[in-house]
Amino acid sequence: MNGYLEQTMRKTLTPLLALLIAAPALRADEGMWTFDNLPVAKMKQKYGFAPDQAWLDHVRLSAVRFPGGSGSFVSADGLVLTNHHVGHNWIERVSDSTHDYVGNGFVAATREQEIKVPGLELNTLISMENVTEALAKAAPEGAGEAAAAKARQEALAGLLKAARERTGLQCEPVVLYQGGETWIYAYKVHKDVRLVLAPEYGIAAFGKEWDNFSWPRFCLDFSLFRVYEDGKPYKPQHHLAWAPKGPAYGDMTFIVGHPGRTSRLETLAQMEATRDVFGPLGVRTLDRTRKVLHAYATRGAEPARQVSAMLMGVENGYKVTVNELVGLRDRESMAEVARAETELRAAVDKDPALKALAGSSWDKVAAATARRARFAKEDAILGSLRSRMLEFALGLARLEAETALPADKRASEYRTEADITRRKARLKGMVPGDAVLEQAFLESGFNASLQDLGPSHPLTAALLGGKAPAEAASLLLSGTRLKDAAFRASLLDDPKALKDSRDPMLVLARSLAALQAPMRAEREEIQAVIAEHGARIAQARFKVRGRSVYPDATFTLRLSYGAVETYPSAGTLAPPFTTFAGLYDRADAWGPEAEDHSWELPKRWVDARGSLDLRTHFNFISSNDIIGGNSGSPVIDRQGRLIGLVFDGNIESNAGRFFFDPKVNRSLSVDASGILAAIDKVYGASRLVLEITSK
Amino acid sequence: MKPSVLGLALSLVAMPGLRAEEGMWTFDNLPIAKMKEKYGFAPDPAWLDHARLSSLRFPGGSGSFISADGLVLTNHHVGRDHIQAVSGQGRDLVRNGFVAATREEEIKVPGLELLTLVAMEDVTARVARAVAKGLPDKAAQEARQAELGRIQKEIQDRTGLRAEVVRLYQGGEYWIYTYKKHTDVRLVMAPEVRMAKFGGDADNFTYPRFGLDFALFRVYEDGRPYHPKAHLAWAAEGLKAGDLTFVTGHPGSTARLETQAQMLASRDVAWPERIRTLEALRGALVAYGKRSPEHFRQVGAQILNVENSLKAMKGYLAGLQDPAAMARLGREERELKAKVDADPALKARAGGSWAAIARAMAVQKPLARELAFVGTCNSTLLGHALTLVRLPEQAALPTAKRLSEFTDANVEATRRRLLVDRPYYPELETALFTHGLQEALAGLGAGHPFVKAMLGGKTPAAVAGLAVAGSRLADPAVRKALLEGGRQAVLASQDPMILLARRLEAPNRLLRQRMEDQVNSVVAEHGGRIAGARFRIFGKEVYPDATFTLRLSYGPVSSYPANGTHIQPFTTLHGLFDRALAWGPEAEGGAWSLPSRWWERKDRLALDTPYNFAHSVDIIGGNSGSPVLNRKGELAGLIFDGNIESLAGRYYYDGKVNRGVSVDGRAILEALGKVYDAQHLVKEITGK
Repeated sequence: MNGYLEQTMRKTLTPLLALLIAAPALRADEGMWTFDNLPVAKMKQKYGFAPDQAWLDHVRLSAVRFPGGSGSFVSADGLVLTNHHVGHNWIERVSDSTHDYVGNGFVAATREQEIKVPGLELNTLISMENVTEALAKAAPEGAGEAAAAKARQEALAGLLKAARERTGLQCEPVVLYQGGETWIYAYKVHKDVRLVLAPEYGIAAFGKEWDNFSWPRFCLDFSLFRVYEDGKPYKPQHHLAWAPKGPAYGDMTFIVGHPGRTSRLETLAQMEATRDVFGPLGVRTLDRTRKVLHAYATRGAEPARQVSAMLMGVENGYKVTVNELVGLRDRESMAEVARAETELRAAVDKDPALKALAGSSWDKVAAATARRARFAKEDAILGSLRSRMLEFALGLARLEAETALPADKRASEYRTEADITRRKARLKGMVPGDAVLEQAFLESGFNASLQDLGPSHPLTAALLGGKAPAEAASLLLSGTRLKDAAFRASLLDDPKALKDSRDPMLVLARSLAALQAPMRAEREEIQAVIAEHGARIAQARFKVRGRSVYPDATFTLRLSYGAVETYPSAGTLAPPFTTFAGLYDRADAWGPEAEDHSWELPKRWVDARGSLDLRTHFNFISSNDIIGGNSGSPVIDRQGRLIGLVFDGNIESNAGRFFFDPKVNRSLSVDASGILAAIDKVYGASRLVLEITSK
Repeated sequence: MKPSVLGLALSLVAMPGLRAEEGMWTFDNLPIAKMKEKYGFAPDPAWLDHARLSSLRFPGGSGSFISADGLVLTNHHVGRDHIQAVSGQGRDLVRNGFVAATREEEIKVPGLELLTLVAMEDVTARVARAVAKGLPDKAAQEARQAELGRIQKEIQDRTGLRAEVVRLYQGGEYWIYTYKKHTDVRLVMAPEVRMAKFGGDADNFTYPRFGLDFALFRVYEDGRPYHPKAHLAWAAEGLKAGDLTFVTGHPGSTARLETQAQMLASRDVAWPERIRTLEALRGALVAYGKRSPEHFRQVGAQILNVENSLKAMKGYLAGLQDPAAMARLGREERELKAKVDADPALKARAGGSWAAIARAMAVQKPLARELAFVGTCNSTLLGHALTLVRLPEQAALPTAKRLSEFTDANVEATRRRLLVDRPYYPELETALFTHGLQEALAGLGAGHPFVKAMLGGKTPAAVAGLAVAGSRLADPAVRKALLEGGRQAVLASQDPMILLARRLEAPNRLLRQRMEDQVNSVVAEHGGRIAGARFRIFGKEVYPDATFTLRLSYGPVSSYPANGTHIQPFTTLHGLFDRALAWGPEAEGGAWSLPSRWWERKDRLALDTPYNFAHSVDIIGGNSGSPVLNRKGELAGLIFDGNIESLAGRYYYDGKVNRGVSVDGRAILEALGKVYDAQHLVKEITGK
């Protein structure tokens, strides 16, 4: 669960509904629960314990949200613990060609040495307000689908504005149960965040992309940051105490973090479309991208460094998508999804009011999904054109096209002056990639279009202009002036220059934009149907089941519970823990060279071999229900203390996007005692040990 | 990994291009060109003779000579029954391990025989001449058996060695293999079963592994250590990832040449039924073991064996349930059949053979189910009694008409088995016999003639209790007297087990004969015809199914994709401690707990010593205990298992994921020297 995969966050109501799995009886320990609705009775029954309000407030206010991931305060002086892979981009950002903190690690010996990370913002969830009823009243009786949606949107904007003014916090809408509930979550934003300690990439991601999502593991996937305020270490209201020992086999575990996205409430038709159409296309696209990146990385150390984070993200996404499909192809699980859906539909059909509301919604969602699948290939090709210059040109062409329209005819994100300014600022920040990489990406995308759509498809024709992919790409790149920053700026600032420009990249972008426009319109139409009927199914489901179930993940704070627990794997039972002894086992087993140094120990770890207690627990598994976005979440014991750090799920957990299988779905965490031993014995950062362990 | 049930004929897997490293090759027919092309090396005849003469066959497994003084290396699990046999109350060598500090302390194992393959002779042509053209299937089969019996006896008489018929390519070739037999075998060293079977049943058939699954025996002759003609030198240098390895051993049975009809019968009937039966037996053994620690000691090894078989069968079944693999095998069968149909001569001979086998499978289904119950009902004494009842009756028949264990070639071994003195526990005997009778009652129903005959209106517990209490057959001297007394003595015996055996004899024999006539002979005949046709088409580019005779497999130490990653090619002693610490001493019945001497001596050990490794060699149950050789023909490791993916290897070989799992020779030396205080054995083995 690395890098960008933490979650491909979609803030709005993208995915949809449906019915999950054995809804009346959720499976053991299933669920990513919102803090207002925990299955207290179930927890008590199984574990003889459930958190009280003070416990919940304490862990909520100790938790922080990272871009794409999670973290927590672990000292009174604002020290923040997260994964290395959540911090990876930021560690890379404060590195340069002479200071490779990703490769070599970083230890700030003093507070003065802590490095400010530009652009990194962390959030703490301060309050949550349910606005569902207020929004329901906003839609006039008998309004059409579109009118109702618009009315609700406007009401929500008003509520958000009021909340912002009232609290002075960053307020975000949170749509739960596919529209069944809407909340406003208010966050305190921390903008001065500094890097304190990062282990070497080689030990954080020991086993590299091979071992990603697998178990047993040996990863020191943590990093430490510190929040500052007014130039001084920030004193958070709450922080997690570090437990003196990690968990024992069978101990209860809580995970507090930000699961990014699940699709467990989608309808069967949606899951089948993912299984049969969208998923396989996604695998193809990611496979093409990873091949381009691997080829580029083999050119040398510097190219490899440039794309390491991107490559990790793409490899991760590839593995996720492949194994999600494995889950969707599991006949037994899909039969269970179908059974639950049939049950809910039967319950809906029995009640005239519910039937009128949602009786036909499944069929409408299915029809919309089928329509959406018809241009899935084109979407995949456009998504595979990863050239930064083309992305820039597409942004520009879109801006040109939208601003040519009167404001009320534009897409929603181009309506106001502020929208336009934001778009331009984003384009300004885009820097073209290395020429070799640009060429490779364009060529790969062009080839994909040729193979998947054929030479006569309008998209292929626009991309290639009748030429061979390699030639078309190199002509574009040699002809374009978009490499030149001044030229890019002039196009952004001067509408006339933009209008007159016949730069070949821009010309291509304009024709692509023209092809995309009708698809975009249709997609929006389809999305509206899916959103509306998804919400209706959710409402019907609410009526039938109440809040005995949890909502799909939304990259907002959730709590999941479970225990350190084995599972059947590869013919045996998986060990619940690994130890430092196992780290050396795996390193020795492969040797430093194998699979491009994937299991090579950093020098500090080779040197520390004699001084470490090899019995120290290193990583462990637990039955908590988590998903991408939970990376960096603290693992907490009954006393509310930190016992571990979530960094991954096992390969079986990928099916968790669609359903939770308690037999085999496991979270992977770094043991708190392993982290502490490493900070102390390997990184010699006793000041941090003292800070973390002081009461 | 143990060999089980015999498999039958046919049609393999992408013949023209076998998968990389695929094959359990006979020593007369190695894919030399292929080996050379891929590895730049292939063994020469001297290498092969040395490896063959250093190899040994154990009952159900393999082994090798590793010193000039007849020291033998095999797996702990191959030797386990024998280690148990020399244990006794208060002296549990399985649990506590054993090291003979001197040769005088080496313990003689009753009944254990090891075999060295001395010569191999191809008798296919002579057998073919003995079968007249146009004979019906059954008569042809009898003619063949008779001729084979004659040849076998001739060779046995000529050489004084043990001669065995080896049927290769489902009857495409017949060979006589002759063996030197070693009957004085003594236990030298065995680690604790916890080390040998570290990870318990859970880890069995899996990898990465941390098993110290070895044991040392010594062959004696005339009361002195035997000096074998050849033995394996211990490798001077250990293996690295990618290094080529060879395995010489005795793969028990595969079923890769079976027809689809046979595989489907196994998938839908045979395996599910056997799994059910074994699960019930396991339940009975576990219940017995719970009575006390001593009860558990009595059945410990048997439970492990049953669990081992269960996991294997479930793996075979999973292989057959893989729709992609089955579709591929089906396609290959259709291709072969099309080739056969395209040639008028082949078509005339074998075109109808697939259908004939399919019909036999339909007959087999009800027969096999009945035969599963109409037998000795898990009673050892009833087994002895049945042998005693049958011996005189069978001896009166010509050898070709006898049941297989009473033919001229086999009857000697049968008599010997009867007289072996093994530990006997009447309470266990009663419990298992009761269980067996209950199973028959539940499976066949109270109205079935066999059930009526055995129970005579009483309960299974009553019948078993009375028979076990009243029988004297547990005493080898009593058995010997009955054996020597012949028909008269047996007829006069009022031993309750003999009386039961008389009731059992006819129904069991009739079922076996029907199975032989209506199923096995059809499968043998038509399997042979298909194999013959296959021979005509592909020649000996392919290897025969496993027959528990000496074979050679080869391939490199290598990783494989599993569990979302690439699996490490080696494990180390570091990993042993990691696994023990991960689970702690209590979890899962202590499956991953270490004997205390391993903790006490941990700091002496070089923890980076390679411990177990995975390699792409095509092996199967029966290969357990096989030596792993390097290019120089030196011993580098010891096969003890396959990964879970290897179980499907019974039906097809998948080179991507099928791996043999071995103990690294370096770990064996490290353990002998630093944990077991057996420096004298290290010295004998390494010559240093």
